[in-house]
Amino acid sequence: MNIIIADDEPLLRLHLKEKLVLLWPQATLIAEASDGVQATKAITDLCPDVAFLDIRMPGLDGLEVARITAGRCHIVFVTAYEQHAVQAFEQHAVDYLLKPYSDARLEQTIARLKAINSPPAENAAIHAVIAQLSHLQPSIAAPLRWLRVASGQETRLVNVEDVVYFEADEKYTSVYTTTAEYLIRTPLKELETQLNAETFWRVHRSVIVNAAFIESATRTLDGRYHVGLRGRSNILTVSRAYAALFKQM
Amino acid sequence: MVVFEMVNEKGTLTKKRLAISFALQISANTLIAILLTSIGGHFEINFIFSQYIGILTFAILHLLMNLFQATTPTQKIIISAVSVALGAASGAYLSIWTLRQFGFNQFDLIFETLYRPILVGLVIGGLFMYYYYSKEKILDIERRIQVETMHRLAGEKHLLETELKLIQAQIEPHFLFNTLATVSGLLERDAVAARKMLENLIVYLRTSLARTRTGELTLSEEIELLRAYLSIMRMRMGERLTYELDIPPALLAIPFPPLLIQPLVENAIHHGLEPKINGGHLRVSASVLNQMLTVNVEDNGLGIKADWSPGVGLENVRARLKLLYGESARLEFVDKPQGGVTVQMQIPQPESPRTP
Repeated sequence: MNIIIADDEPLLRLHLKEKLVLLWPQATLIAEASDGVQATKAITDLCPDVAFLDIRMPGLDGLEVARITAGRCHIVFVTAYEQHAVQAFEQHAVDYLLKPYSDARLEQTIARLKAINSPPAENAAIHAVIAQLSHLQPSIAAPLRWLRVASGQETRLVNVEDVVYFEADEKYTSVYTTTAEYLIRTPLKELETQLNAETFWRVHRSVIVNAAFIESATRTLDGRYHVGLRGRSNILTVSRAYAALFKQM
Repeated sequence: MVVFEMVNEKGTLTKKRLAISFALQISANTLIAILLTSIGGHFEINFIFSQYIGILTFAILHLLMNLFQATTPTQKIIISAVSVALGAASGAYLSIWTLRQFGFNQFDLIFETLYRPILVGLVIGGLFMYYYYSKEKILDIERRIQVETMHRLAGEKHLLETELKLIQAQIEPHFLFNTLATVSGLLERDAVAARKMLENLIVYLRTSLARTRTGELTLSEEIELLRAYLSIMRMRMGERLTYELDIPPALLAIPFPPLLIQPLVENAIHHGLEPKINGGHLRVSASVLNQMLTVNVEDNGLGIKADWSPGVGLENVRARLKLLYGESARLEFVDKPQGGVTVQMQIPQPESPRTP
């Protein structure tokens, strides 16, 4: 039985290696990898029987490695991920090891691997597991929290809560904070859908204002409202269509 | 001079309102004319003067207010004054012109009575302006109070949410379990190293889990936490991580709220260095200039990728900075063109810092 181990942490790799030597003398460690790219190469080049893959690795993560090399070898994920991610595995044939693992648990894995007769089929099960796990990775479409803005050569992150207001500026959107002004490529319309409507108010066709910065709202003689903002000296005009936002104030 | 009644409760101008206002305007002007006549002069002349001056002042005022979009009381007062002056002058001129058309040429009389409607117009105009200004001011104060209340309530809600998140987010399970796995592996091979790592983990947990802190904490406690955390990460990542803490000893006694730098460091490692195949270098530095403590956390890792977004830990730091220091604290993320990220945090220091 030829095996490879992939983990970016040298001590954890060493630990698994020592344990395998001890608990599974028949197995031969043919390669070690410290990142996903190395792991993929080792699996493709050396065709091991089993690959122990850490999930979080630089380059490619363990799930990606498994996806790319699907069908080439049996895969045991070695992960510190939480229970729900692990449950997904439990329903399928592929084993997992939850870090930190006991000797007894590793022995179970070894026993399971020894018992496998079928070749590592590129079965739907593993794809389902991978899909499920990938889905559990943080990919929830949360409301926009940080804006990536260009500032000279650099890219900055600006938290939306620090934005006083957004103003549509032809193809771009101007972002005003209390101290600076930036241009972003996202059109105002698209931004509006990503922002929390409770704090970001559309007050004009081309302006979205952060309500937290509204200092005063003054009604003019013709029924429009003018909004004064904390940290910015200019006054924003509320168009009639959006005046209702301020009427109850 | 009933200009100010033009706007109804909802702030909209309707045709009906306009008609009522106009009628009120005419009536008020007529009243003024009667008032003036009671003092002296001819009613016809006073009537013509009052109407012209009243209507023109109203028209000019409305025009200018719309034209300049006046918002501050000062702007409004200036515009009102200019309108009254222009209204009075043009009204007087038109009145004389009109009277001439009717063959009225007793200009002695006109000039004798001319100052009266203008004077009365100014006085009444001034009274209305004062009334309007006061009303506006009261409304403005009420709005301000409401806005403040809204902000305060939002702030309180936010504080609770942040505290909740702080408990949930401070210790990353992945970090904890990987570290424990490392300790577990080290126990058999290198008990001294295992013990050292465990001790560092205890320092990390004790600081991160402390919910009720009494007394003022200093920067030195936060640095201790960083040392413990970085020492663990260095053992785990091996050659892939190098770091330096450049904190002038004089700054260690500065009062400093806990867990403001640690999440920045954790973020730099988690997003910048750990996912980078060859790892990299991390530098934490601090300095005080002009009563502002600046902390820089720099790495030469992957940088801010298109799909990268700071996690809950950083959100917490930002929210807590805001609660503790309002607008005077800063937190900036800069993606360096040569690779890596610099996070800069600035915290205001009290007038008399404890540092020499």
